[in-house]
Amino acid sequence: MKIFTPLFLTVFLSGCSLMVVPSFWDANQAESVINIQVAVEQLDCENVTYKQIDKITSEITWFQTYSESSGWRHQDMIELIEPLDETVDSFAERYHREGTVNSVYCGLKKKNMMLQSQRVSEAVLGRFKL
Amino acid sequence: MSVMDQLDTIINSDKWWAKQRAEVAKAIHQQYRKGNLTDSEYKELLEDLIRTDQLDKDADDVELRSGLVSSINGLLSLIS
Repeated sequence: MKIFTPLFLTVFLSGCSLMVVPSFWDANQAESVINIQVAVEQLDCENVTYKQIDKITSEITWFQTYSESSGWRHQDMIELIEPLDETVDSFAERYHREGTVNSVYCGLKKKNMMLQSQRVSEAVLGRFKL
Repeated sequence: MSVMDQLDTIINSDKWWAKQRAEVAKAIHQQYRKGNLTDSEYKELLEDLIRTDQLDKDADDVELRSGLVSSINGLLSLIS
């Protein structure tokens, strides 16, 4: 009842535009988004390796799998990580296709990934603790 | 007003999030003009920025919902 009442009232009051049921604070997701952010920051554009890219993609996959496995209440987290996932995927695909990436492209891609991972972290870490 | 002028106006604004993105967009354009980015890389990097806006909207929704839950919980605590 303690959880259900604010949850129900939030969905009721927030109307159609916010029909997704809110997820609450989750320590595992909080740790995972920081790991993603750190992995992006550690990307060395002068010497990109498969290991560096894999660290980012694996952590995003972990976050998605955990959120999906946590049930319907984590749908908002799956939607939240999707744009960052696409940004990282196109980077990983280019690296695999071309065998390397130019440092200028990598530097700008890193800025985009940092902007997105910081925003994801803010939202994930700012959630309400039950 | 040219696209670059528009970006400069945003860079000089007090909205930090818009300023950050405009700076990245300008840097992407400058590197493309210098020939340091291929057409495909240029397009991909700008598409990332468009996706950042979608992410922002989703993050705002998460924060708004969280704020609502927090406020309602606060109201409920008044009677318990």
